[in-house]
Amino acid sequence: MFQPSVIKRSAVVSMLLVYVAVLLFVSIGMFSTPLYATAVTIKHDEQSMRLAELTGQEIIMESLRRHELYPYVYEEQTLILMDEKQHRDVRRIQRYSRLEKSGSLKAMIKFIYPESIAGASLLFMRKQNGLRNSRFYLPALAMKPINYSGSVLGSQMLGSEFSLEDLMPENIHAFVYHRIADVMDNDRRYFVVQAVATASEDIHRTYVKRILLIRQDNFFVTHIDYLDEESQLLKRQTRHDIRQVNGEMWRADMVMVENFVNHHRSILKIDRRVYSIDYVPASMFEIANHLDGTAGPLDNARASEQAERAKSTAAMNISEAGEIR
Amino acid sequence: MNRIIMLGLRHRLLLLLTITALTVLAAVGMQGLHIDTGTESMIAKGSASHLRYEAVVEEFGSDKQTLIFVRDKALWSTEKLTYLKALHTRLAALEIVESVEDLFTLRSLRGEEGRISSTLLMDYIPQSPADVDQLKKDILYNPLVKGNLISAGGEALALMVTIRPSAMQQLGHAKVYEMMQQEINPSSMHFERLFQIGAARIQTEMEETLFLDMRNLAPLSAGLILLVILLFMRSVTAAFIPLLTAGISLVWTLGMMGWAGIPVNILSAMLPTLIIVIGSTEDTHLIASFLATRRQYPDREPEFCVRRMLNKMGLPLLLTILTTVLGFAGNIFSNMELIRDFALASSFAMLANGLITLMLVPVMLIMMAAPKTSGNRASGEGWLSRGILQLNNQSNLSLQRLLLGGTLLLCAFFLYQASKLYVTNDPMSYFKQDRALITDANEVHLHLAGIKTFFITVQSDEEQAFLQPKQLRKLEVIESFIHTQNVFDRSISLVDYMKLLNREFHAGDEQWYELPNNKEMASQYLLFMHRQELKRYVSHDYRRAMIVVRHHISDSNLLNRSVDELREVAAEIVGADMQVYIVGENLMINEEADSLLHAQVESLMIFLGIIFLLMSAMFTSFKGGLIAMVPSLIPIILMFGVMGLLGIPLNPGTAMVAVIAIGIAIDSTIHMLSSYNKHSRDMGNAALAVQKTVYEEALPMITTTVALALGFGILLASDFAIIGQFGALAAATMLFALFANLIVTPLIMSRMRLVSLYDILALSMDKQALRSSQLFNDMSDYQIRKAMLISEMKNFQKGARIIEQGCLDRSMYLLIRGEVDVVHHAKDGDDMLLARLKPGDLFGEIAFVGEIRRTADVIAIGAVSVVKFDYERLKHDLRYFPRIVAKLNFNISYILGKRLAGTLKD
Repeated sequence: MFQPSVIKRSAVVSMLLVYVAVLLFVSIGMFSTPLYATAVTIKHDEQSMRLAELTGQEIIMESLRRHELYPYVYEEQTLILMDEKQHRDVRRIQRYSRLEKSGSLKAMIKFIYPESIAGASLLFMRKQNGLRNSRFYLPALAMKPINYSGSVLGSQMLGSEFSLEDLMPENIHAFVYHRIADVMDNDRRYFVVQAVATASEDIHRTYVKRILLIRQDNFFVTHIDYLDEESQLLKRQTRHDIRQVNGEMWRADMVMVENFVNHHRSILKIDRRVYSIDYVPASMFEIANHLDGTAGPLDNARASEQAERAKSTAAMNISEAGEIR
Repeated sequence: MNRIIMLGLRHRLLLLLTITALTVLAAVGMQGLHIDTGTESMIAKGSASHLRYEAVVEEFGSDKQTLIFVRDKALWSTEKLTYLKALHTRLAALEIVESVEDLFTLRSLRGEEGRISSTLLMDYIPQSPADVDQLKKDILYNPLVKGNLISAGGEALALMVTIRPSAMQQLGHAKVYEMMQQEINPSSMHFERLFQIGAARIQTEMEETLFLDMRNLAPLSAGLILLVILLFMRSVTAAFIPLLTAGISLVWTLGMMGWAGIPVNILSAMLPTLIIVIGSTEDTHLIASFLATRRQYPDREPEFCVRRMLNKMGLPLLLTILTTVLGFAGNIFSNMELIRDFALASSFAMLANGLITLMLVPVMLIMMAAPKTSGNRASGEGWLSRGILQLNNQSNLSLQRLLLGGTLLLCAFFLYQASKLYVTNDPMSYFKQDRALITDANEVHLHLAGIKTFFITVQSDEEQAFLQPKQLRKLEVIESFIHTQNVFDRSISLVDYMKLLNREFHAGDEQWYELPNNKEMASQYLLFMHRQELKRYVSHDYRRAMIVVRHHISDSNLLNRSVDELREVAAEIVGADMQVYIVGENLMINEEADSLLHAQVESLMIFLGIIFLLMSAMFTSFKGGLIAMVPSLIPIILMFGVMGLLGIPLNPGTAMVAVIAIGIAIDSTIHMLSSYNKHSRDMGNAALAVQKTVYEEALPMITTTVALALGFGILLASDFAIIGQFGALAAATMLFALFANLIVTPLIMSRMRLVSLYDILALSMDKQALRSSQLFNDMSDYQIRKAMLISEMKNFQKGARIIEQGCLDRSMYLLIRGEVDVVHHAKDGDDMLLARLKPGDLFGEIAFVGEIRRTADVIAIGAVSVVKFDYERLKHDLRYFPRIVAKLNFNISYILGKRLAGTLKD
């Protein structure tokens, strides 16, 4: 039955919620972004840009310029892994990323939940020339970080449908971008850019082909299809809860990857995001190097002890970061 | 009863119309026929293990994968690997394919000092021979892949394809197989060996073989029956009538299956042959009797002969139809759908064929009016019957004892051989061993692990139990035990992944190929695995773990024994806080083998019990029942002995032989015993009655047995091994039954006389004459007939001396028809007429009661029929009927008393 009083009440509640959300958004923007907004020069010449004439490469560059060049980002994330039967596995992650002035990128993903994997960390580095390196640190092994290499298909990150590549800013050296026909969705126009791995790139370490959908109003990538050599759709990344963080910069608070081969899904929810150099100190990326030694079947006690030490060291760093804030 | 049998004869047009209408109705029903060659019908559904299996498959995935086998000496070259990749891509792109597990999808973890790499086993195809060699080494380095997906030498490998269950259901296995094959064919030329093997192929081949069998076996059987009947009966009519009745019966049966939704399964391939072969026996008996009557009464019209034929054969035929139907219905309560459906269809077929034969054949014989010259007794009859007769005639007591003793020894030997019998229910064993499917499966087994799979699931209530090394170690111990059993090819579990991870995170050092020491280490290692890779081995919450076991065992007995042992040990290893289950479709099918054996024993016992009761009722004594069982038991013992001796397993095909074959063989016993009884009553001499019985019955019995044996032998041409085995064994059992019926049964028969139920029913006498007789005062019809039938009917001409004064014998007579004079010859030569007796009167009772010389002559004054009661026989044959004896004795006493009173009065 139609009940006007209920409708009115819900409308008022909705408006209040929107109001609170806007206040929060403004507060976060005020507290966390200004420091770096001035530090990075973001060229903005939208008036002169003629959207129709932009090439694929230009679109990607503009997208990167707007959204990905923020140098110090700390995120608390929840990674939900879902299999084809909708069984869920939840992991909590802290992500630190730092874009150095040299153009090199450092990122660290550190698990904090569940307890059995707490402290396990993955360090990813990409130099300006595109060279990549990733290392793992497993507290249970209490060894030096292990260099990790793998093909893009074989290295789905930590059991999720995301590869390491997916979570890092676009590596423009690895792909050639072609613009194809724009599309409309929900009254919104999108650029469609096809990214094809360059001949020089180690084809086995990246995707062969991707198709990116980029919003024309803000140059934000909302949708990426990953294709194989036969142009078969392997997986699809979609970005949700997109919001404007600062100026032209937008961010998605939820990213989902759907694998069409194994029918698994992974959802990455950003619970908290801080743009602050204090949250991403350079030492953070040295953490694994603080540890040494090896564990063997006969020195489990030592291994456990070192694992505990590693965990507490990691925890200490985080708490220090918190204090700075 | 005769009224029912004659029904068709009385309303011929109505009968023909009814049969036509029913045939049309059945033909319409045939449109609804469907084929089921699925393995599901070989499993007892709804059982606890089946439900558990379904739950495991739901959680961990199916055990029914299709394996694409590739073998080539030059496999490890860029060219061949490119072809392999193309094949993978085509297969993976198929809508029906859920996943393809192979070198292109499985992960390779390789650790070196300070680094670890995680790639697909073959994420790209190397271009140089050196790189290809390195790749081969890298792949063979992975213990989870070597010997499982790739042969130890690397010359053969497998692509494991999981078909979407929905696709299998919607498209059917044949279409799925074809779609897969379409993608495989373009690659066939590039490899020395390339084939698919799995549920889709097995079921498709079953279906194809089924069609082939149905197409080939029926015409072969028909041709054979035609020849045999022509040879033995020399009558074209006799040869074609069985084919017509079989044809109608087949349409009815298939129509009924269509209407009732009973699927055509691999056992149904036998149906046309069975209907033609078994159905023809009833026709043969009828036609043989008709032809004999035609010879006996050459001047009478066909209808007279048909009526006589029905009078003589109708009731025994009904009983034989009943026993045959019971034989086939013996498996109707089987747990196995496959057998149950076949039992339903075949018992209906036998019933339909029997009724059609009984109703239609008489009408056809009249309508076709077989010429009197046709159906001369075949020349074969001479030597065949003579041979048997000679054997029986020459069999003096010692020879008879020798024969019986020899039979007993033979039975003892074959009983011993039967102890070696083994059971199998493996679908692969249904096919002949030289078939491509079987040789392909053997090739897979030779290079990789067997294609059959089962699962061991271990369940814990503890959260994340299988991240705990303590629990993982239990899985490891179970796997070690599997290895020591040395019967299964391969087992893989989470433990193997854990060990591999541990080794590779320690730079591939072999000494680290062991389980991680703590839960944290296990959990952190597993960060490098994708859930998809582990889903077959552990549940998402790590409470349930699974060990996948591959094998190549076809012997259900060995498999069941090994699995039972494994189950017991595994339960002991996991302890009380965990549950362990061993499940698998292949396993359930093989487990059904045990129930097959039990069901076989059960149905055989039930059937023999029914036959015993039926025969006991028929011969109105348990002794009769027991005697009728002897010719049935001998062939069963010999059949099981042959199976043990030749190593023929008990399988869904052979399991039915005993019941079916005996259901058919008992027909001959019934014909034999009924014929013997008739002759025995007529002739009053057991030995002569046996001879006449053998003489009369040998030919139809041999004809039908040879026809049946050859007909069953036709099944050897089937592409299904189990149907071939069924045919061979059924043929052998028919011959064993012939031996028992012609050699053993006459030996037993000559030593006793039985009164059959249909003798009782068929006995026609002047009821009033009998009832009015003082001898049968206060006795029921049944008691009167029973007493009558242990007597002998005698006919005398006018003037014949039935009793001679002064003779010493102990028989009394009941006058049935005509009149007799009782005449006393005095010493002085005068004859004195003591009495003139009428029907119902008794005479000779004094000598019957006490052993005294006859005091008068009894002379027929016209044509006379009497029933002769022999004291010894009455005493012997009615010893199990004390009430009848008591009443007879009382009545005789009354008659004697009355006579005494009359004498005194005179």
